[in-house]
Amino acid sequence: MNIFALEKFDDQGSRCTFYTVRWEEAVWSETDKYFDKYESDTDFERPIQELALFLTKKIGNDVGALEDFFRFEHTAQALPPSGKHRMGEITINYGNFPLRLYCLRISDSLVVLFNGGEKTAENAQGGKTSMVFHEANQFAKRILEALQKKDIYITPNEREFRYFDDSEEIFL
Amino acid sequence: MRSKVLQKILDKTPKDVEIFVDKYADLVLRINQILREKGYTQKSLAEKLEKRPSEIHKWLSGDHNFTLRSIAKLEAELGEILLEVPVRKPITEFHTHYEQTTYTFTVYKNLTPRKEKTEDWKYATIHTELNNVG
Repeated sequence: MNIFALEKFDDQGSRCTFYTVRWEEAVWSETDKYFDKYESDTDFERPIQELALFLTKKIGNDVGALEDFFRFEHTAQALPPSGKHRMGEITINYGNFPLRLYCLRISDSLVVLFNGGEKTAENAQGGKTSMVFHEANQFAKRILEALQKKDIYITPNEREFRYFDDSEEIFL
Repeated sequence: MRSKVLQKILDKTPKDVEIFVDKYADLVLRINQILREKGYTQKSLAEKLEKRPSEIHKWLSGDHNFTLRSIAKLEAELGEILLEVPVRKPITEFHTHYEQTTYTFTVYKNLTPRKEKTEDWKYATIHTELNNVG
């Protein structure tokens, strides 16, 4: 796997900061690619608006990244010092929501968003999104390993990642 | 900071989408909170409602369109209010600073002025001074 940047996607909410990942040579992050892909598609205009608001307003500003909003698809990985972090899929699939967005939920106040796609199978690993799901798992694994090795750390308020030298610029 | 792509989508999002997302997320949180408080599992709730566990999972994970009927079923089983609609009193209220006042006007048209009785001017009588007043 090549090098990628771990960078902020949205930190304007009072309850939760969203990070994303961007390949070193890429202009856009994986989450930007996801939103851009569906923003101009008339079939998905409304769902993508719902997802954007759900992230920024409900999770980001109102209640935080509560576990009830996530569907966990992977085995929990224990991480000192702040407990368990799990690879999840943001559950905004009310009313047969047609899209998936993969993420790594660190805490109520820190989430890393990856890419996603159209939901064509019952579980996250299946259908059109299986490749994206696999890639999201690889991103999550690298981030969790970096935390375990203390290459990166989470700030005490659990709102940001920092490189071991306190830099905000993180490449993994 | 915020992703420009994300901001562009938010700028185009109509108000009704915001209301829907807000209410739906609140409903999902409320249901899950009550289930935890009352010690329900998805399986036990499915048994109570005589539904398949997979259907209850869909309800609770959001993969379902809630209807008033499904909400009513859940409210009945859980014994808790999930959705409340504000009710206004169906009466008319009078404001104390308003009064109802009726004015009646009678309009006369083309009336000739009435002749009033008038006195002609007369010269006043000049009285001589009284000498016996002391």
